Amino acid sequence: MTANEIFGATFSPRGSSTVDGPPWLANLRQCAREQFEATGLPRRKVENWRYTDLTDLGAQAWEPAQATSAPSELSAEIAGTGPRLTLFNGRFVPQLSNLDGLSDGARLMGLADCLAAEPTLIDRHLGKLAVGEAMPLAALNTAWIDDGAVLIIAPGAKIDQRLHIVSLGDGDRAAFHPRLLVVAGDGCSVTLVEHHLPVQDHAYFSNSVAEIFVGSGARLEHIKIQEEAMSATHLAAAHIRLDDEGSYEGFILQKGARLARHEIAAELGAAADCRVAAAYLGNGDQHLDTTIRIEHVRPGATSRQHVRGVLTDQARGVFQGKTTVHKGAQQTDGQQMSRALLLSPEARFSAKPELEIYADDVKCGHGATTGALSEDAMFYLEARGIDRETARALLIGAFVEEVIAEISDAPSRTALRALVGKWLFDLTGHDWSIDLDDGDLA
Amino acid sequence: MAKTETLDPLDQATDQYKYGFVTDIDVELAPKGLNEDIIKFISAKKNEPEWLLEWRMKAYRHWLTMDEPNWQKPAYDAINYQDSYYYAAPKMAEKPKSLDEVDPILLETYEKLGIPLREQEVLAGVEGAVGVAVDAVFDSVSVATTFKATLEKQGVIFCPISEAVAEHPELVRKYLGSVVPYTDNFFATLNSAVFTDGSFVYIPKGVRCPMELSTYFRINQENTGQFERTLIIADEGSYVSYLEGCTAPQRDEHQLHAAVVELVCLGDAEVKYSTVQNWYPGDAEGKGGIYNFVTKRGACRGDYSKISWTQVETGSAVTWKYPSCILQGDHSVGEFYSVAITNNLQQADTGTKMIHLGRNTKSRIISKGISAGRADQTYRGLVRVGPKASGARNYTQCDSLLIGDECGAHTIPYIETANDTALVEHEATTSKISEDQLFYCRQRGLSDEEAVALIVNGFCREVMQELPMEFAVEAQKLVGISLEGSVG
Repeated sequence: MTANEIFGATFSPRGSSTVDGPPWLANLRQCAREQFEATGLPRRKVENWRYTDLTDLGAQAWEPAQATSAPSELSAEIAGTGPRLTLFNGRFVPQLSNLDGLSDGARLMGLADCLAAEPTLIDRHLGKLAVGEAMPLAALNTAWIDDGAVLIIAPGAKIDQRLHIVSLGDGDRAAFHPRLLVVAGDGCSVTLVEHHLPVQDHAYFSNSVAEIFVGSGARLEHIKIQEEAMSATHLAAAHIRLDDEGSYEGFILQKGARLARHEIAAELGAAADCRVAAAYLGNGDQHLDTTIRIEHVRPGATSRQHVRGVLTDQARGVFQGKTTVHKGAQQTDGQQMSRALLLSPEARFSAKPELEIYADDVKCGHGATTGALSEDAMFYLEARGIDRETARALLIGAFVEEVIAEISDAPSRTALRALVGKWLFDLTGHDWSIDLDDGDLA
Repeated sequence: MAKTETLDPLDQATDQYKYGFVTDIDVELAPKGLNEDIIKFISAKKNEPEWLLEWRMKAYRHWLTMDEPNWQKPAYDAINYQDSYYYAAPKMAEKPKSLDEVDPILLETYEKLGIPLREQEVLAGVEGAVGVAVDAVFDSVSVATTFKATLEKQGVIFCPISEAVAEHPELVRKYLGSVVPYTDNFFATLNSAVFTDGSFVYIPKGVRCPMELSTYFRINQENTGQFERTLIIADEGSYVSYLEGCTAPQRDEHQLHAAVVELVCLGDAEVKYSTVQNWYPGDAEGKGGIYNFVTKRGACRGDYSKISWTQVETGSAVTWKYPSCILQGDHSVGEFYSVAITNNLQQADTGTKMIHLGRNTKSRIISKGISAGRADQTYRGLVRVGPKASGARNYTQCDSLLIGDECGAHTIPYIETANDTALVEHEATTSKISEDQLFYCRQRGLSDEEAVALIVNGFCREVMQELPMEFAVEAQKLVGISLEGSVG
């Protein structure tokens, strides 16, 4: 099918935007559209999509999502979290956002507003990372670019607040393409929480793209929580560039959606530090894919990938990690670790942890394991009088905790433990997720 | 236990590739090119039965519909399949009845290669001197097989596959293509159409093969491809250790070697297959060398069967192969031990596939890659656990060693698990020879090259230990020779 057939006849060079934006934007959309139409949706014979099949997605007709029926308020637990920008079906909704009291040095705004009022703020960044023929879904997003979120941190600014971007999805067969642009100025420091969730359990399609620029010596902690509707499709890509000595700490929790993929493509400057931890919790017939590509192009950079997943029922898990060390990127330290826990006979897991190395003075390694819960560990707990179900919950909780513990931001750790705990409770009837920050355990 | 090792001085090997000579011998060639007539010609030359010709034809027609694969990492010059000879045989008046009738020039060639074709008396009491039975393949045909009489006493069949087709058609027909079907992949399909010779081994029930079996492959003729086919069947409760070695003269053109090896292992049987691959690697500028595109696969059909692949890959301009195990029988075991060394402009894309289908199947993969000069090397492996393979277990370790800042080393493992009781573990590291290690060796009077050979041999030790003694010494020397010129 062509892009028009899949994504509605209203597919236009202007996207669904009500504003044209600056002239360069029209050009960006047009190029991206041509690129997507040339490649179409990726097929499984494309190596990068070997384990995730988009045939079903391409076989359906999608309507551009309407942004008119946004809910009037957010649930209390999400509303109470401080500075927040909310998107509904990819469109900025001021009444659901709370941008008062934003620290000096931080600017958080809707993408359409920014394009209309101050396009020069972002014209050197928007559409500069999420390009290339290998990324047809990013091209699809760019072809539809109209709204989303922009976060700009002034050089040297230390932002103490946790900044939230909430993306709400709604509507059966509705497709939307949220765009996120983060420009963290040299030497700044900031924590961003990106939260994707539904209004109702609808089969919508969220195709989100983030472009993230981390300046020299800047530090960005980026926590993404994917809790989409269980019948939704969530395909996301984060394109990251780290300048020299820049630091990116990413965490991804994938819990929702029937078909989900989070893809990271990061390019590292000299002595940059890129740490990505991820957890996915799959049940039912969910398919959860975490794909991470890290390119060491300059010397002395460090990268870490640590991905853990728990799969039950007929859930499918995928991890693809690739560390590339380019010629001249000496003194690179790149490590990958993937662990999957299979809890049911029909759960499936596929992994491709890849190293591509063109420099000799490097330390690179990867490890991958899959297996069931250790019977030895179960026996140990049962021998101490803990019943089987509790022991199981305890061990699963401990397994996931190892990646959650890598998050620097303490309140986010607590929030994520609660989410994992809730999932575990639904699974086992026990909430035995472990809080290593808890004084009792220390 | 401490062992003393003597390191052979590398300067013993004066030439980088000492097998680069050409044997001047009269050769019978089929016309150049590939078409149905050539296949009929090969089949007629071998006096093959009708079913085999049909099988070849089916393969050829299927091959015509296939595209050459292009997913591999190494880049190689396009192969003109019409510009090659598919049959080259040293001229012999009649099939030799004994070694005395074999052309002395041929015997001399094998002597030069260090392959004894004359059966030597096994000296009583000398440790390790059990003798090795050799099948020598020169271009397209097998020239001699030794120790046949000794083996026959035990019921072991070890002969050229063309002879097996004539004398044991029921076995060949039953198993040929049963592990690697003629539709398998581009190069295996080509092989199925044009294979000329290779070795056939059958070990009867309960027999432990009394000696190592070995095939020595030699490409001599210019512009020929070598397409041999090896079929090994280990019947219930039997054991065989099989060695394969290969060399080719130094030539400026690339030559294709597209072999197929099929192993069938029935209940409680064990096959140990070792390869020391030393095809001509091309010169320092990447001119010439063999394209080694081989399909090797073993099926553990019976319960408690075991297949172990050991390979030392030092030669070839491009090596592209994945010796694999299909673990069908319950409790069957697959092993893959590999050392791949690439220097200058050599490229290798090698690894294994372990397909777990039976219950409590186990596999172990140890891969050591050494890349030097401007070489590029990839480990690519698949571990797949099927839904019924309860209790399956895999352990994989891939280590890469880089020597110099212009080479590449890549690791691409695929892990696919569809059973919750399976335990799959994969580990990989990449490192270089540290200055400290080199300094330590130099300080003790070793030259740079000796130091590198010593360190690399240490790095590969886990794999080298798996080689039968007859090959281990040669393999250790090869490691040193292959890396000549990579430091200093």
